[in-house]
Amino acid sequence: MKFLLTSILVLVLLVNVGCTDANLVKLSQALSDTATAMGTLQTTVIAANKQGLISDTNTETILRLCFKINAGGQEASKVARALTKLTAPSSSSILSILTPVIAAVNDAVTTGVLGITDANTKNTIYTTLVAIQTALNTAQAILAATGGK
Amino acid sequence: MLANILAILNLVLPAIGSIVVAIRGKNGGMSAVVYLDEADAQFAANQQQIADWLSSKGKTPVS
Repeated sequence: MKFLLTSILVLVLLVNVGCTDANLVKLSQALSDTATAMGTLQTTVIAANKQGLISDTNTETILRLCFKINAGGQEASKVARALTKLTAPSSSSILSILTPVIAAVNDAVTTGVLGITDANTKNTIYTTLVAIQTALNTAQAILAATGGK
Repeated sequence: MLANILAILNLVLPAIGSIVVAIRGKNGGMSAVVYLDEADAQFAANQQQIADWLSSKGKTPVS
């Protein structure tokens, strides 16, 4: 019984010590926000495809871009999970993963959302892409502020 | 036997509550690990959604 209580106490202490870095929390939240917005984007695109508002070709292009963004997010999350604090080397490591992802999202936003012709669908997707862009820019700013290059 | 189990639960449940409180950060915010758990689960679901759509259209899966 003493062993059980000691183990629980140690676990509580580890949780407290390991999760108090404010920048790491903000970065993790930005990744979570990105993942949620990506889910919204994909669901919107697939629903629009089902309604015939986006062609299979355009849907495929968008979803393959989404795949890359999700994969980058997963990779960044894996690195962040091993940290208790953001340092310059760890921030640089995560930034190197997210930079191409951010470039891809920026490109999608600026090129008129990949040739979607339906105005409402285009607007919805554009708004979601901007939300993704905002979340990733937040992550980028945190990483830069903690010495990431 | 039942009394023993209840005694153990009496000791363990408050500790589990403490862990839950600890996982929640200061000011009621969530800790990094909770956000990362959320992110990982959502990213995985997103990738599966893409794989399902590509499969339904007979498209080449993303490697």
